[in-house]
This record gives sequence, C-alpha cells and structure tokens, in this order.
Amino acid sequence: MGLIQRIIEEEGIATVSVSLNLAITKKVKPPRALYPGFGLGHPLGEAHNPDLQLRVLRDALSLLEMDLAPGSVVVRSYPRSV
Amino acid sequence: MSTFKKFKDQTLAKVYAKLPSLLDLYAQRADLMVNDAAPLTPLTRPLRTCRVALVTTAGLHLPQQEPFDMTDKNGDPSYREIPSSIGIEELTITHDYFPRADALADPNLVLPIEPLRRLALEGIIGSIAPRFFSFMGHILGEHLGTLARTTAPGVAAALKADEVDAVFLTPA
Repeated sequence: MGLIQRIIEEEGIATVSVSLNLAITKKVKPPRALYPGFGLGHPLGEAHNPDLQLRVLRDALSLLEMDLAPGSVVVRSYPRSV
Repeated sequence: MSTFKKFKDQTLAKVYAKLPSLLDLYAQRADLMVNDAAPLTPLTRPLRTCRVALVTTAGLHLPQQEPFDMTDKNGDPSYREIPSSIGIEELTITHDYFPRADALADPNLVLPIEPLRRLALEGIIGSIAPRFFSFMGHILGEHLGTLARTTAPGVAAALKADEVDAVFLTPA
C-alpha cells in the first residue's frame, strides 16, 4: 500500500494512510501516516463502531493540514470497546 | 496456488493478527521495499474545501466485478473502481491474507465510506470523489513492477482526472 501511496503523492495529490505496523511503515516511508495501534484487518479500529471510525479518519485527514516532515508517522492511541 | 500455500498464508495472517510483534519480524524481510526518503505534496487548499477519495488494499470489490486472483502466489496487481455512491453493504472481499470477518461484517472498517460521508456533511471536507479504488495487498515478484509502472499510476491518473485534492489509504 505504501508504494501506491507514494505514487499518488508523486503525481501531485496529498495522501495520508493508516499504518498497521510501525516497523514496516518506517521502512516503506509513505508521505504521511497515522499509527492508531490497531491489528491486521482493522485499520479503522472496530466493526460497527462508527464513532471510533470517524475519529480515526478525521485524525488521519487532519495530518494533511499539519506541517510534517515527509515520511512522518504520527502515533495516537484510541479507546476500544472490547 | 497450492492448497498448502493458501493454508499457510491464511494461517500466517491469523498468527500475525494474534501476535502483532511477529509483523515486526516480517518487516525485517529482505523483499520489503525500503526507501530512504518520502515524496511530499502539500495540501494546496483548506481540507474543508478538498475533494477526498479513498484507496484500499483490502481486496474489496462489488459482487458483479471480477474477484481478485487468489491463485497467483505473487498476488494480483489489478484494481477495482468502486463508485462512491454505493451502499456499504454491497461490498465483498476477495483477499485471504488478513482476518476479514469484521471487515465483511462492516466494510467501513477498511473503506470508511460512511464516516467520510459524515465528514462531508459536517463540512470537515469539501466533497467526496466520484470513485474509490481497491487493490489487494501481498503483491510480490514481477507483479510489483506491474503495480509500480501500470496499475498504481493508472489510479493516480484517474484521481487527477477526478480533480481529487486528497486521498486516504488503508491497508488491511
């Protein structure tokens, strides 16, 4: 996914992604990423938890308006219902 | 793909999900693309006026679209266009390499269409792009070249044609 993100960014479109693993993301270096600490298959957190999904999406998009260095990964933690 | 290979990949996906630290071991693998620097395109306008698109590698598609090829051990570098106006319940997934039960139950978990609609209603973003794009992850070998030279640039060009300002991407 990082490769696709980099190619879109190189075409002149701002991008942000969710990282599921810090070590992988730091190697692939997408332009901007949010690491919310969720597991495989769960980039937005939990199924049927629209408030959590909205928060993760809003936080990720907010990185687009921050003055971040290329390749930044922002770590945030989120409460879970289980 | 052999039944054994498929069983092995699905089992590994379950193990990675249960033990996230094992993903760190995967990250050490030599075939992972490693970059020293990242490209950066600054947003040229406030997010509240931006047209936003979603791109995922979760292998989502509509039932009437051709499923991703799960028989090729190097994966399938093609993509599916998802109209942004669809109902979230219309989506299905062909991609065995991650625990997908929750994403099948609620595709917003990997392609947050409904959260994005809420952000548009609330004025946090300007508008939603007419189409989203879905790949499968786990692309290896020669297919990485197809992805890098053909299909990913194809999606980038389509996003430009749709006058998209910002893209949110999700792995699975």
